[in-house]
Formats: sequence, structure tokens, C-alpha cells
Amino acid sequence: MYKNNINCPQCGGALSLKFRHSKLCACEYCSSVIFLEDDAVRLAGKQSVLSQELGLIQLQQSFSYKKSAYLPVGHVRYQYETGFWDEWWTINNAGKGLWVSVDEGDFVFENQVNAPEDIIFEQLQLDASIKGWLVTELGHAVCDGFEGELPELVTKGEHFDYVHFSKAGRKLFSIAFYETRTTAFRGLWVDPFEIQVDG
Amino acid sequence: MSETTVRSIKCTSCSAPLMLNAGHKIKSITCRYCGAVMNPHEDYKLLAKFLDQAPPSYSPLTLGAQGKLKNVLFTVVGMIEWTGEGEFWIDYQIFSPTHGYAWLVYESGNWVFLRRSRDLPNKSLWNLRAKNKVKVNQQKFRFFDSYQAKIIYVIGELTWVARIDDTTSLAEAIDPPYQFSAERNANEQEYYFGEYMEADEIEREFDLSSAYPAAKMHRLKPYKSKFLQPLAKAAKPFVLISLVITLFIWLFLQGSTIKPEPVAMTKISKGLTKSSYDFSVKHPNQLIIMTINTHKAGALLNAKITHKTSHKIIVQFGQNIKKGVTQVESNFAVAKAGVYTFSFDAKMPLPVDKIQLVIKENYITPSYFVLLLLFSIGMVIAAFMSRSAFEKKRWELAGD
Repeated sequence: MYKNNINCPQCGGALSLKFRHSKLCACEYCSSVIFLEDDAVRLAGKQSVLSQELGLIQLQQSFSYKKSAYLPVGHVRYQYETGFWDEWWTINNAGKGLWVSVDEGDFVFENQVNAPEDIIFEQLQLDASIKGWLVTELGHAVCDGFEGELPELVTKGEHFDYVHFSKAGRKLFSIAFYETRTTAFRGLWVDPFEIQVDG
Repeated sequence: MSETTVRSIKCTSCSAPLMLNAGHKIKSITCRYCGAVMNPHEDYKLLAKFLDQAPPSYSPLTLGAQGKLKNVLFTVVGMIEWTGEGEFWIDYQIFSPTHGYAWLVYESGNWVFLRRSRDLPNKSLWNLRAKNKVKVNQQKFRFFDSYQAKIIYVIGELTWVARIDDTTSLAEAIDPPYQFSAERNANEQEYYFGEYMEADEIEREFDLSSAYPAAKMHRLKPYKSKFLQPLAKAAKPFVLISLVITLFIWLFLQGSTIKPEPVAMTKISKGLTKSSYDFSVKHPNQLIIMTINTHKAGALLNAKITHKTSHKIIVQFGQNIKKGVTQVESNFAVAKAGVYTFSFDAKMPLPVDKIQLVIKENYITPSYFVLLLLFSIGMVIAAFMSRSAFEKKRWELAGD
């Protein structure tokens, strides 16, 4: 069942959620950030304002890729050494969630997977090969803010180290090392010319 | 979603105003006026300076030029001129806020749209010979050439720090109009997917006022023939259709035989023989074929068919039997069913056992379908030969 009858604890406005497993959302009326717990909602401050950048993917504007349609319902921006990248939380036409990472024309479709416990960021080196995966990027990033609804809790200002592993077949494996947790994503590089924005 | 954000800085070396059109993945900005190379991520710190750079003798595009490629608006943000194996070409770094970075390569009137590829080839490109096959993501390419190229001119925003006299090794495999290439320098190797772009499309999209002649041949130029290609394409199904119909007629529609007997010859004088006999036609207005089998060279054969009672001549012909000719044929139709007389004389004795007359009615000639078959095959062969000649010219450009 969708959490479609929840109201904002700050202003009382209805929260129109698109994804049943959303954990975090921003009220579209008062910009409050709301944690969605199993049987309660909790205020978590004000939503940050992300600068609007030109991009192929926009919030609430559906797009299609290889006969599947996707609706971006959430958006997180991360700053890194030379700029920023966007993570879009999208729901496909089967109701399944998918992350789409976008960095100036580089698109990756990603799914969260269990993080490996035997990889230590400090021991990683660029161009090293681990279990058939090549280390292609090492960096540090900070969450710049979010909008819409998300399947996990993110906090503005939260920072982490990250590593990108690449493999033949356009495959990408990313691990984010936070202070208290580690998350991992398995993804596929996608040609932006194959993405069709609806409308 | 189609405009770029334009920013402006002053060159940290000569203070000239520089327009910036690209994004944060830019690693170097080279001043077009003084050749200063700046790092955009360290307060435009000076990295190098290329003094007295000679610009390309001809550059169709300038920094800031905009045009659509595959319906996506790109802006020219940087430019590198290369030389290698006696050739010169320009790589234009182009940027789209929605689709990122790409290259538009200008080579003597030809254009190639080049994008970074995340696909890997099924074998290394560096050890292949011309025409060796290589597969990338199910697409089959053939190795074309590998060579070294040197940078001789740099301006604008680039996704890497390009330096004058830097060299790069390139290896190219082609599947015209597409290309898969590898670029390797001392530090890294990257793969690119390229596509040949028609010059008139680039001229139209980038609003180029000065027209220039397209080079006659380019490794990615697709084969095109205004006349032969469409004609051969249209002719292909007719090859099969006319072949099937011709075979069907030959096998099943050869009519029913009226007279299969050998002709009884009568010698009427020295060097002159004649013969005649009657045959019945049951189906008027149907094609009848008369075949005289002989191979007596030098004989002059006069033959005619007349209606038996009215003596009206239906068909008449005379023919010299040339050396090598074994068969004389005549097709005709009669208006009425009835008995007809075939008669002929030959001005040279024809041995009886060498002459055979066959008359068939309800005959259908495959001649028109044979002509269609020959024409269709001719078109296909002509197109094939034209294509082969074009491909030969293409591969003459390839390395060993």
C-alpha cells in the first residue's frame, strides 16, 4: 500500500508520495523535510534549495530508455573535487526504483547492493584491479541537498569517500564509505543519446 | 534545456576576456590570444604557455559556435589541431549541458562526430592488421589503421591538458559510417565511438557561410550512388521472382507436343530437299512453338506453315543455318482450330537423321522473364562492382 494519505506535520499539506518504500520526502508546500517511519512521520528541518541546472533529467518529468519508462521522484546532489553530480531516484513502469547518476553527460543506471566488507578505502589505488574490477576513480564527496522523495535517509553536509570500479560491458561498481555505514551500487553506463525525454 | 551557461573570465596572463561555455569537467583553458594554459580548478593558475602558435590554415568553426548534432545542441568550447602521417585535422571539443562532452573532427572537408565509449573491444586494437575483425558490443568493425599524431595548436576549454608537441597513438577500426577507436598516451587509454557526418548537415546546423569542397574519400564515408544503389535494391527481389517464374515456365508450361516425329525428307534434285506434313491445332489463339533441330551448317532453310484447306500462310521464314547453330525456332498463333501444313525446303541436302521437327501448342515463352532476370542480375552486379571499386579506394587509405 502506498503511503498516500500522509500529511505534512508542519503545515498539514498532503504528501503525494509516488513510491511505497520512500523514507524521506520534502513537503511541496512548506519545504519541510519529513522522515517517513513505519507508523509515524517526523520533521527533520527545512529542505535545501538546489540550483536548477540544465540537464536531460528533471524531477517529475518522465523519460524512457530501451522501452522502459522512468519517473524521477527524488533528487540528491553531491559536490566533489571539481564540481557536482546528481543522483535521481526514479520509479520505472513496473513500480521498481532505480538510481540514475548524472555527471555532465555521463549517465549510470544503478541498483543498491550489499556492500562488500573486505574493501578498505585507504588501501585502494587508482588502476588497481580487484576481483576483475578496475579502480577508475577515487574521491571525496559532500551531500549538497535533496528534493522530492527518496528511499533512504540523506543529510545535507554528510560527506563520504567513494570509489568507482569499472569492468567490460559498461559495468560500474561504486562504494560510498560514510563514517557510520558503507553503501554499494552496481550500475551500467548508459549513452544519453539512447534516453528519450517524454513530452 | 538547450542553452549553455556562458561565463567570462580574464586570462591570468594577458587579461584578455575569455568566454567559458563548458562545465566542471574541463581541465584546461588555453587563451586564444596569448596561448596561456590555465587550470580552472585552481583559480585559473597558469600551467603552461604556448607562444607563437600558428592557427590552422583553415578552420570552419570557431569557439562559441553552436549547432545541433543528432538533435542535441552543442557548443564548440575548445580546439586542437593535429598532424600525423602528413595529414592535418582539427578536433573541436564540443559540449552540451544535457549530453556532456564530445568531439567534432574536421578532416579536409569531412566530419566525424566522436564520443567517449564505455564499451571495450573483444581484442586489443594495437596488434591488428588492416581488415582484421574486431567486435564491440555486438557490432563488427574491421581494423583500419594505427598511427601517431602530434598536437600543433590548442585553444579554448578541454577535458584534458593538451600540450603542443604532445603525441598520442591512435588505432581505428571501422564499420562505415561508424568507427571505434583507441587513443593511448603515456598515462591512459580511452575508447571512442565515431560517426561520419554529412558536410551539408554540419554546414546547415552550424550555419557555416563559406562552403568548402568535401574530400573525395574518407575512411568512414558511406557508399552512396544516386542511380545504381536504389536500382540494385529494387532489382534484388526481381532476381528471385523472375528466376522462379522462368524456371516454372520451363518446367511446367512448355505446352503439349503435337508433332514429335523426325521429318521425312524427300530429295527433289541435287542439293535440294523438301518435306511437308500436316498437324492439327486444337486450341486457337494460343502460342505455338515450332522447333527445327539441325546442325548442318551452310544449309538455307525456307519454311512456312499454311492452313490446309485455305492455303493461307500463317508463318514463313528463311534462315541460313550457321555453324554451331543446332536449333531454329519460330513462335506463332493460329486464329482457328484445324489442320495446318508445315512445309520447308533446304538448299543443301540435309541428312534425315539429323533433322527433327517439334511443334507444341499452349506454349508460354519465358523470354520476358529471362530479360527481367538478366536486367536485374545486371543491376545487382553493376552495383556490387561500383561498391567494390569504392571500397577499394577506401582501403587504399588504410595502413598495412
